[in-house]
Amino acid sequence: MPKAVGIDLGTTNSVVSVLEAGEPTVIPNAEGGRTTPSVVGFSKSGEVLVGEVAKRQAITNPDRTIRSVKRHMGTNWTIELDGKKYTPQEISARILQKLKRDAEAYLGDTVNQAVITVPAYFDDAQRTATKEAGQIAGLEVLRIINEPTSAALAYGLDKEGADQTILVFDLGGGTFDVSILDIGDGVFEVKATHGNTQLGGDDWDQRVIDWLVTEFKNTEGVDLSKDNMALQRLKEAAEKAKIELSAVQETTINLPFITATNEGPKHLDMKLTRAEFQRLTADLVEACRGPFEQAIKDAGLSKSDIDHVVLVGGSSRMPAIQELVSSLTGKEPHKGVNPDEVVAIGAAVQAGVLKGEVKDVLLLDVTPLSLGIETKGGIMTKLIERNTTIPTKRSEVFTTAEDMQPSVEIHVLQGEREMAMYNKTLGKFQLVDLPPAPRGIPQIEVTFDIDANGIVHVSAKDRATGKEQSITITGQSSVAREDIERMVRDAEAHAEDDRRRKEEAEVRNNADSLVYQTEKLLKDQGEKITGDEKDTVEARLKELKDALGGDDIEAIKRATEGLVTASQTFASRLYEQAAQAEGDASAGATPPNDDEVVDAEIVDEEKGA
Amino acid sequence: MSDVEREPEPEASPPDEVAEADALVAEAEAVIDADIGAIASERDEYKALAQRIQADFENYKKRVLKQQTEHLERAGEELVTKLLPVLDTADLALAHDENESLGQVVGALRDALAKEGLERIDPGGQPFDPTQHDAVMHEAAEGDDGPTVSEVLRAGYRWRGRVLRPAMVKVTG
Repeated sequence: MPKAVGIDLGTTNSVVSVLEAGEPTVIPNAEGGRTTPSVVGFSKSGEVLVGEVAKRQAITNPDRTIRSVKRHMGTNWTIELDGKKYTPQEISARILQKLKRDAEAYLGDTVNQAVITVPAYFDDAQRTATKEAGQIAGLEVLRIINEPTSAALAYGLDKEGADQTILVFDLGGGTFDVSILDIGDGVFEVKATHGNTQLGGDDWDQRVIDWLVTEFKNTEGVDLSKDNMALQRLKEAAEKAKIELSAVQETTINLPFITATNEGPKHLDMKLTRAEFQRLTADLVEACRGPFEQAIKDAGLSKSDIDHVVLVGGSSRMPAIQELVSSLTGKEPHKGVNPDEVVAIGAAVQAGVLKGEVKDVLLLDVTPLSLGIETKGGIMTKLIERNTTIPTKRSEVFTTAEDMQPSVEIHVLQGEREMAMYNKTLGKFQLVDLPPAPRGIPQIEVTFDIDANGIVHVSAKDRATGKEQSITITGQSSVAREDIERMVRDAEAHAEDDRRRKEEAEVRNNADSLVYQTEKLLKDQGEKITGDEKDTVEARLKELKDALGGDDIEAIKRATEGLVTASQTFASRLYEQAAQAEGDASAGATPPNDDEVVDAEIVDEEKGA
Repeated sequence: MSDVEREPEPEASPPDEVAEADALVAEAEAVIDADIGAIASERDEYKALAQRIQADFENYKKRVLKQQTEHLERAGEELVTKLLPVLDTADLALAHDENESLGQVVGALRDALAKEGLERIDPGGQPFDPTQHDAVMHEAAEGDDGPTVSEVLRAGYRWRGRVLRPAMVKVTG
C-alpha cells in the first residue's frame, strides 16, 4: 500500500515523517540522521550528492553546490551546470527525491504522495514552485500547508474547539518567524507573520566562538581566528556548549592542542556558565522581540487574545528564548514534540487525514486497568496488562491446587494490586465436573478476549474433557477516569507491601507443594529410604507443616530449606535410579508440558474467597 | 346513483393497488439494493483497511527486527563515540611529541578498539570522497587528478562498517 508522507522542506534542513497506526514517526535518512541538510552538490564526475554528503564537499565545489535553494523558490533564478539550466524547483526536487528514497527504504513500501510545508509568507508563485518540485520528484502533492499551521496540527490544536488564536514562534538555524493563526471550524487562517530571515541559532554559536577567541587571545596571546583548523574545532565546540547550556548551568569547553607556539602546545580549557552565555547573546534574544510585537500588532490583537503558543526550531530550546516567549505572551508554550521535527510531524498528520487514514475506526482504545484471575494464595495473576491496545486475546494454562479437586472457580479481577482482595471483582464462575486427578495434573486453559468495544469474554476450558464455561463482562472500560487514576496510584503506593504479601504467598505455596511432594514420595517410594533418612525427613516434614500452620514467614522459609536439605540425598538417589529405569518406562501419564503450564494454581473453591 | 358510481371503483382500484404495491416493492427493492450496495462498499472499505493494517504491521515487524539486528551489531557505538575525542587528543599529543610511553598506551587502546570494529579513516593522499571525508579547507590546483586529500586535519572513524565521523580534511584540486 503506497504511503503518503509529510515533508518539511526547510531552508537549511529538511525532515520527512509518516503516520503509522495513527502515530507520527520521523524517518531517519540513509546516513542515520533525522534531519537532512537541504544541500545539493553536482560533482565534477557527474554524480548528484544530496544532504550531509553534499555539505561535506561544498567547500571543494562551491560553484556546483547549492544551499538554501528555498530562498530562490518562485523566482526565475537558475543555475547552469555542464550546459544545462536548473530551476529552483529542479534543485528542490533532488532533495525531495532523497527524502522519498530514504523513506521508501525505511518503510519497505512505495511513497508516492506527500504534504509539503512552506513558510506562511510564501506567495502563489512560491507555492506553485514547491508543488512542481514535488511532482518532479515523483510525488503527488496532496497539499501545500503553512509551516506554522503544520506545527499547530502536530499538537492537535485544530481539535481544541472553534475560534482559537495560536502564536507560532519559529527560531531555526538561520531564520526567525513569528506567525499568528486563527482557527475556526478546523480551518486555519494566518492573521499575521513577521520575521527576520537573517537571525538564527548560528548567530548564537558565533557569539560563543568570538568569546572563545577573545578569551584565548587575552590569556595565551594567540589569535585563533587566523587558524582554520582551530576555528573548525571552535565551531563544533561552541554549538555543543550552546546545546549543553539548555540543560545545565555550566559547561566546560576543552580543546587540547588547539595551537602551538615556540614555547610548545597550547590547550584551550574554559568554563562557560549559562549566565555568561545569556549575557553574550542578550541582544540576539532582544532582536526576537520586534517581530513578535509587530506580528501581534498586524493581527490587530493584544497579547491576552493568544490561546496557545507553539515553539518551532531547534534554537527555541534555549531557556532564554523560552523565558522571552513566556514573558511576552503570558502563556506556557506547548511542549512534548521535538521542535526540529514538529513541522514535518504536522504535515504527516495532515497527509494521514487527507488519505483518510485517521478514521474513528482506527482510534483503538486501551484497557485502562489490568485484568486477571485469582490464583492460589490470593494472588492476582494478570493476563492482560493495563494500557494493552484492544481488541486483544490472551490465554494461559492453569492447574488445580488440591488432589481430586472437582471444580475450579474463576475469579475475574481488574486492578493493579498484586493481591486479589484489593482489586475489583468483575465476575466469578465455576468450571465443574473435573475428572479426579492429583493436583497439578489438570490443564485448564483460561482465555481473556476483549473486543473493540471493551467487552470482556472470559472462558475456562478443561483440556482433558473439553468442558468449557464462560462469562461476558460489559462496561469494564466505563470505570471513571478518577477511579482509574486512584487505582493506579494505590498500586504504586502499596507496591512494597504488595510485593511482600505476594512473596509470602509464594513462600507458602512453595512450602505447601514441597510438603505434598515429600509426602507423596514417602508414600510411593517409602521402601527405598533408609530408617535414619526417613526419620530425619519426617521430622523436617513435621516442622514445615507446623510452620505452615503459623504466620511466621521466616520460619516457613527456614523449615522449607530444612526439608529440602534433608530429602536431597534421598531424592537424588531416586532420580539416578529413575534415570536408569527411564529406558524401560514408555507409556503412562504424560505430565503437563512445562512450557505451557504456568506456575500458578487456581484456588480451589473451598479455599477461594 | 351512489351505488352505480360505486360499482366501477372496485374494478378500477385493483390495478391502482397493484401498481401501488409494485411501486412499494420497487421502492423497497431500491432501498435494499442501496443498503446492499452501501454494505458491500463498507465491507470493501473495511477489508482494504484490514489489509492495509496487516501490511503495515508486517512491514513494522520486519523493520523492528532489522533495527534490533542493527542495534546489536552497533552495540557500543555510543561509548565509542564518546572515546573519539580521547583518540583525537592522543593524535594531537603524539604529533607534537614523539613520546614513546604515550605511543604504547595509545597503540594498545587503538588495537583494542580495532578488534571491536573501530576503523580509522586516515585518507592522506587519497581521492576525496565526501561519504567518508568532510572537507573544511580547499586549495585550487591545476591537474586532472580530481580533488585529492592533501592533509588530514582530524582522522575519521567507522564503527562496524558505518561512518561514525568523517575525516576532517583539506582538499586540493
